[in-house]
Amino acid sequence: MRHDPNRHFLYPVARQFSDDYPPESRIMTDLKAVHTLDSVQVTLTYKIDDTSIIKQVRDSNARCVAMLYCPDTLYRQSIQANINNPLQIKTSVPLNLLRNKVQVHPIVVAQKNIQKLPLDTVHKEYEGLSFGISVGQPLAIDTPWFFDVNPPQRKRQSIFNLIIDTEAKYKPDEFEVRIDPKKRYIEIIAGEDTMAWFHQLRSDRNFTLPSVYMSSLIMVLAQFKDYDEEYEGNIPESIPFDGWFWSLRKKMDELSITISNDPGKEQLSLIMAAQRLLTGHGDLRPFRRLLWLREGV
Amino acid sequence: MIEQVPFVNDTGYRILEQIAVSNPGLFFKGKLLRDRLEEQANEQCKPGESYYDRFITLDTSLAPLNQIREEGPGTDADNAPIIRQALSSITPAEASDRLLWASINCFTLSGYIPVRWGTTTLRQDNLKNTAFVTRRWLWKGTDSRTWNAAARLWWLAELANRAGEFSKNSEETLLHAMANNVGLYHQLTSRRYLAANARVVAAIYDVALDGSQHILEFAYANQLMKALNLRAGTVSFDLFGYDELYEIVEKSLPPKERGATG
Repeated sequence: MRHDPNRHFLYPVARQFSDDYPPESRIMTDLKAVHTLDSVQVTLTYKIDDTSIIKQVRDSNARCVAMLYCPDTLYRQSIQANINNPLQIKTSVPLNLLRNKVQVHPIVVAQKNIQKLPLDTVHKEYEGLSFGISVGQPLAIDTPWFFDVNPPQRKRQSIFNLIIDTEAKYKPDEFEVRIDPKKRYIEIIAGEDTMAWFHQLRSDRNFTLPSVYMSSLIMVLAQFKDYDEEYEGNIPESIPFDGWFWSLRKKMDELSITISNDPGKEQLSLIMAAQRLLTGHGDLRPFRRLLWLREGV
Repeated sequence: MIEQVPFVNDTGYRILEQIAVSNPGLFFKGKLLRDRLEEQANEQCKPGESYYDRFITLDTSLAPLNQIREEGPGTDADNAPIIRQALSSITPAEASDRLLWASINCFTLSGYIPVRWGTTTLRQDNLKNTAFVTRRWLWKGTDSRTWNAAARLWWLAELANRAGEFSKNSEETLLHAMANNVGLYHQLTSRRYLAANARVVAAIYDVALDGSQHILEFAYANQLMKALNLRAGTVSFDLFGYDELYEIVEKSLPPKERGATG
């Protein structure tokens, strides 16, 4: 369950700071925990130097086991090594089951009752003795590993919403940017062909986002300036907190971008402001990380 | 009915902690607490910042919990499924978030918590009141899921649900056993490595419900946990099935006639 390596076992157990086995008969493990968007891939590799323990593993009397335990979420899972690859454990755990610290306990446990534990390699003081081991009892324990899990990231979304014009009132080369602070998104409405070009540009790695959004953003900033002046810091409740207006405001504040109708204030031109927003601090995709979706927690 | 609740951010949580120190009584007065929070946020936040920046979507309203003020708070076993249903979409990772539970407790359960946990517990000693409020409304220490008013209910339902997969008793029966006998429940949840194993939890409650009810009491529960703890250090419970664990729990039972010493 929570094997205590310092506990006195009634039989020899290979572990750190114990002389049950000679120092060269060690169990060592290596952990790799790779985070993906929604899970963490855990790979635990065992290196067992002791010949008698490795024989128990090869004979399927014992098995390498990793116990994954997250105290914060009460997640607990015991993963056993595959028969075909008895010295490595690979598993994937969804991030929504983990939070903060995760412990990984590497052990080698008996998976069958072992009537007589081979004592070829143990300390000499065990000579002449005989030990039986039951299922679940450890033969070797390595010190636990820990890794940190970041809070699960929700999907984030651009503040722009590309909408195809269903009434097809726009010509192929036309589009319209609708800017309403009460809406969650800046809507770019276009005819079918224009929209197809937009999508093509967005998915083409040779084009950066500025090339797609630059012109729209300049239009947005021009309007934004008027709204911001009008509200004078008292932004009405009708403007959604998770909408584009607040997001843009926060981002401009973060990047110290000031645009104003007040000629007395030091400010950037709309073109400069749009450039900085789209490339701010080396982040070429500033809008992708602005919004938390309103849905869910 | 879907309900949106502001989800406090770190700034909001910090301000709530400050209010808990300066005026813990406000936590019993939902609207006033929110006004004070808003007021302090206005003082402390930069322009454009707020004490929250997203919302929690409750799948159903928590109003039933708040409407029971006159009849009393109801039992935890009755209330746990209400919280669980209202927050049916959250994951265990999210259910360990102090911001979530502070938001729920401060903004939606202002009618329930004072009735459940008693305004009479408010004392002259402000320090004690702060400790009480921090424990029930906010998130303090490793046992917060047991003490926080809403988290406690959600985790009760969650653990009953997890154990229900292995138990021979129904999830509802387990939930009642857990909620109505906090002696064992608190002992179990304070040993998180045991509580995290649903088969162990199922085996313990099944043994208790099969005629060993005495382990539901705190002192006997403590003895049982100590015995299991001792065993767990040398044997891997994770590798055992339900039947084997049931047997281990039975063998670890403290004898009733000898009495418990804690």
